[in-house]
Amino acid sequence: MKTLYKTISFAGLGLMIVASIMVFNGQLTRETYHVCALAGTITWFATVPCWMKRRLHHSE
Amino acid sequence: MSQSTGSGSLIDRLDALYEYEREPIKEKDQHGWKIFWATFAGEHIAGTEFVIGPLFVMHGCTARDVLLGLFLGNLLAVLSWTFICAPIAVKTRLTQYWQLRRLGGPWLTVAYSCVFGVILCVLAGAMLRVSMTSIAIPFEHFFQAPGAVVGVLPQWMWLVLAVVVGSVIAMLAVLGFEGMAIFSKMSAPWMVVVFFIAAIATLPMLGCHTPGDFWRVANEKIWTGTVSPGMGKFTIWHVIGFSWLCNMPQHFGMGDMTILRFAKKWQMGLCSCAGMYLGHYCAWIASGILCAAAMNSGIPTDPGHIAMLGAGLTGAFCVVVAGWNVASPTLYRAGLALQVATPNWSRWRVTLVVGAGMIVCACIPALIKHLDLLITTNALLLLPLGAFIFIDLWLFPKLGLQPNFAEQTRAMIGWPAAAAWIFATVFSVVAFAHNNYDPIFPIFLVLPEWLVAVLLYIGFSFIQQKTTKLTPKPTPATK
Repeated sequence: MKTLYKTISFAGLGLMIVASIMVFNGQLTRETYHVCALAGTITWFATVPCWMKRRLHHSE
Repeated sequence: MSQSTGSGSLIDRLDALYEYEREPIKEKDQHGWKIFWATFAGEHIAGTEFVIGPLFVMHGCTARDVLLGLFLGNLLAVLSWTFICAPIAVKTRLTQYWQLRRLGGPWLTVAYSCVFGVILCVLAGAMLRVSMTSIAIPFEHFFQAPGAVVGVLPQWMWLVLAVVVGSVIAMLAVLGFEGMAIFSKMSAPWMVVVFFIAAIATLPMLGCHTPGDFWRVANEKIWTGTVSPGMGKFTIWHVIGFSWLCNMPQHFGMGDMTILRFAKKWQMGLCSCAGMYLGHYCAWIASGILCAAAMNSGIPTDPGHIAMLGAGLTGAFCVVVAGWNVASPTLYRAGLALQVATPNWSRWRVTLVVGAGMIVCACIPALIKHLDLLITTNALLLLPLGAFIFIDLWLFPKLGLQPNFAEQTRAMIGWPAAAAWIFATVFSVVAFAHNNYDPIFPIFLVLPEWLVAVLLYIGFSFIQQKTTKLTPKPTPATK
């Protein structure tokens, strides 16, 4: 299950990267890119608490 | 040496604050490479990257100055972490605080804590201001003049935003510091991606449609060498110097002994390259691109607007997250450092008072316009203390001097360190005044100040140790 969440999280980041490259290549409008970036952001923050350790490295 | 009850309780309180880090790190608590790659990579991407990148554009840098200068400056920073800070952290396994106490006595750590607390408070104010630039965007419509691209918020509105947003950050620092730190860890990879995508998607706005166009666009549209009004001209030396000194309190100043004392090997200081080249190379270049695009489009170049231009709502959200992620722990640490100077106040009360200071600082627009000067001042103030730790540990035995002399003599303050710190700082202030307070000049004061601090410390220590009779008593540092 953890692997699945991790995959979805990174797919969200991947969506953001692919959308920006498509804007660079002129294959996507800026408006659509903004929507993709937002969707990727929501995906990341919705899934990352399910797999990332909630322990801090140092007791600072 | 005798001490008054008042000063004794003050030092006791300060020691109590750092009690948990008093013991050297044990072998079982030491970490490997992986954790340091992640820690450094996550620590050096913050809201201020949206400010510093544009500063290179406005200071009239050329593309070569930025791309090569940042590469070399960050390399110097990585080498400083690896060869200056990490070996000492691994050798002592103590924090900078306890190492300073050994060489300079408890009163030096009181002075250090107060200075550090004030610096952190101002830096938290800068972070808050960064977040406010994004939160202000929806309100601009109410103040938009006919025909203007964006509205300009009046000063009273900035004040309201500072109070509201600053209060939330202060409350988070008091109530949910741990939660904020975890959220910060979770958002770090996403923030890196936002910087990248914003830059990539903005390049076509500057006429860059293929990778081959980049160098031409970089020279003609981004880092054109044209200085913005009110800014000084940066050369490649300024860029190298600034990117090196940007984290000077952490490497040369030994602040990251706190982190690197957990390292199994001193070579793990090399992991700092993850933070430097992601945060202080790629992110600064990315925000420079965003700034140039904003200037071309007639949009304000503050962090909120350039991020919004680069990635829409995601960019604006990134600025808020990047600002809050750092402002809240910075405020918490400022409260921790200044708690020593308050008469038995609880942590939450100190943090709220420091939060009020942060809000006042956030109302000053010049704070982010001249963030480079603020960072330089911060580096110059704390640099001598790191130099003392380095010299005390590595050079003193070779010179026949006794390291950790204040601890050996149980002195309340090691006057060589205190005097050398004051004189080295005065030297920098005089040199700054001598150059007509040129705001970009202090970048070049780092090495001279370091040398002055070191020479004075060695000279004063020599005088002290020749005139003070040392009664040897094996007092372990950590007891």
